[in-house]
Amino acid sequence: MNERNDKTAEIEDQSFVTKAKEVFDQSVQALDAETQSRLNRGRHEALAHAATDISHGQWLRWAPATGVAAAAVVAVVVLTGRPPVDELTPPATASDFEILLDQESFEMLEELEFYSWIGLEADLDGDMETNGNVG
Amino acid sequence: MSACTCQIALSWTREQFTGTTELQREQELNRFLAEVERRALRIAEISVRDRDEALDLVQEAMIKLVRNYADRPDNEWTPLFYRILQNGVRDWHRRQAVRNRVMVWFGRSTGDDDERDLVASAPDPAGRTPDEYLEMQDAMESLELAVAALPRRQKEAFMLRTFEGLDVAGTAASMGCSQGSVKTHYSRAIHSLREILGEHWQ
Repeated sequence: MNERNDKTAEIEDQSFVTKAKEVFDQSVQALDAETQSRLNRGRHEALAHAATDISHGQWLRWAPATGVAAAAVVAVVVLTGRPPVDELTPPATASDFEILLDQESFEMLEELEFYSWIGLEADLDGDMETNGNVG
Repeated sequence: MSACTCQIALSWTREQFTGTTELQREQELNRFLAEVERRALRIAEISVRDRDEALDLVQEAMIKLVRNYADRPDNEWTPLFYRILQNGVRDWHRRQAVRNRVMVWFGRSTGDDDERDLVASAPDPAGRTPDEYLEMQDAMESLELAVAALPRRQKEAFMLRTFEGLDVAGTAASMGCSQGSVKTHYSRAIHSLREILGEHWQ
């Protein structure tokens, strides 16, 4: 007897739920165009908004790694000291720049290979003379 | 030299792959949200009894889902989305309660007594006669009022199970409670609604 009552109640409940779902679905289908348009716009804005956040997040995700790399470079420079400077190379002075900016200097720069060869020849001659003196 | 080139090529390929995956994910999310948004709006609207507020709540839930849970498996999105939405509705009610207290303090009306213009907001009922449409609208109005009168947890359980069609496990995940609690809330909700609506509704 009780079992039959339970079954009847279950069927009635199910029937009620089916009708409620049907009425609800109809109300969803009946949403006006303006509301649907606002929903559509809201969804696209949400996706765009979140995409911006994600790209910022990705940039920030690399920030600690970049920081560590920068710190490592600074540490290497500090621990190994300043890079070796050739003591024979004189520092560039204002006059050097004046020479470089001179019109004739531009011409010289265009024929840099030639002057380099001349200099090399002169060095070789000097070396030969020195070796000859030693030998 | 070649090792370096390989590394750059690999890095570029990985970036391309990640970009493609993100695009696919965004498309999947778009599809999911498009599929769920209208039902979500109606559920939120029944909860807060205001379409504009419901639209805002749905959009907030969308933003939070995309921002925080886009990388979760697709089958988790529905319960997560409704959990976010239910939390939003709960916060909205809290804010409303505070606002109402403040308004009462200043002796002002909250403006909730504005009647909705049913004619202006009437949708085009495609394929239904005016009588059928009015009958449906009347039935929905009664159901909305009855659901709105339920205790919060019963309301949530009923709407998620019946309107959204979530199973017991999904509803429990959305509500943040056990499956046993969902069954209890749901069963009580149905009995209360049947009592409120009476036989003429069925």
